[in-house]
Amino acid sequence: MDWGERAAMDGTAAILANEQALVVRASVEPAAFAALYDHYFPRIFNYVRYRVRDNAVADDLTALIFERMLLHITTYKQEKGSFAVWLFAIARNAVSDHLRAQGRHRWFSLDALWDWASSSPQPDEQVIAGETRDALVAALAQLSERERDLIGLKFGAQLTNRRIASLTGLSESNVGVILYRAMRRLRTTLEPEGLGDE
Amino acid sequence: MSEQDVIERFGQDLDDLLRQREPDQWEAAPPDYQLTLDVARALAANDMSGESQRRYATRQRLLTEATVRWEREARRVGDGFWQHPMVALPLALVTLAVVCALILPGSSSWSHIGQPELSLPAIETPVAAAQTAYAEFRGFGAAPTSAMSPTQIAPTPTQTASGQSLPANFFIATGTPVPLLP
Repeated sequence: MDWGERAAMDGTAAILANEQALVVRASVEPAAFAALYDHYFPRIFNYVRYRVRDNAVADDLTALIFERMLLHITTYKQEKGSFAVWLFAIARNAVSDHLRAQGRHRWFSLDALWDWASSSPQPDEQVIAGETRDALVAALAQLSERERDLIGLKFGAQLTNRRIASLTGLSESNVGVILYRAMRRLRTTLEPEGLGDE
Repeated sequence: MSEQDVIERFGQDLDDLLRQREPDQWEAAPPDYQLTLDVARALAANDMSGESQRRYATRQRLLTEATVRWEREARRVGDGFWQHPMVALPLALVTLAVVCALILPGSSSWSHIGQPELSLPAIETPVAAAQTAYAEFRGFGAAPTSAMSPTQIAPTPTQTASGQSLPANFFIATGTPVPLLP
């Protein structure tokens, strides 16, 4: 069986064609676990990076999330929801535990933003790499914890609004409203700095 | 156009951006809509996973730990099979029987398995032994009328004449051993 076989897009992110079979076998077969790890690592790491301070912490938390996944994967029940929602529930809990333990909610590092702005050649990100960097950091920091969580789930985990709703307990329409208003607030804050200007 | 319509459209355009597709142009969009979408575009294009310093080290560590756990679990399941009562009890009984058969070969009733059944009991009772002896020596005298007290059997005149005699210690007695051989 080709563990790396991919299916069409599900929501906004690709899923593995045989994901359910992989989940069942991951508790006894290293190759199945490795396939799940490879597929979900970028989304888990991105989500964590949207919410924590730096790379080292993000690496630690990502490792912890996959350890918990491996430990509890036999408890996952397909009829209760998608595997992605189950996995990101673990991720949210891990991040929340970390933030509580740290006693702070600094969710995005300045270093990460510098790297982010300088590593991509796209014009929009070149704009971010300019004078508006600090303003963007300030704008992101002004969002509420719930808004940062939703932005992380949307842009980091690449979940659909429906899955975010099932994960957070919000309604799907409420997720859309919160995301839209958060993005507008970001844009409003950044507008004087030139982000988004054509 | 209501805010709800704009939010629904924004959700669709956002999903397009995350699928790396450019949203369709929306002529009727509010003035600031495109600017908001540009902020979303910047976020959607960002992939920070390349910044991970321990992606593959963590992968290897987790696979190693998982393999050790899986092997330990497999051994535990194997040990559990032999410890199950339905397996362990019969196994113990069979082992005990084999040990007994090896240590005590002479006393084992197992040695008779498959052999023809003996016609005589292994141990005769004193009365049976006495009756057997009496039958063998029937020509030496009359059978005793009572076996309750020791009685020496006297030879018949014919036996006396032919020189046959009984051993001096030959008695018929209930409850006492009877020597069958001189």
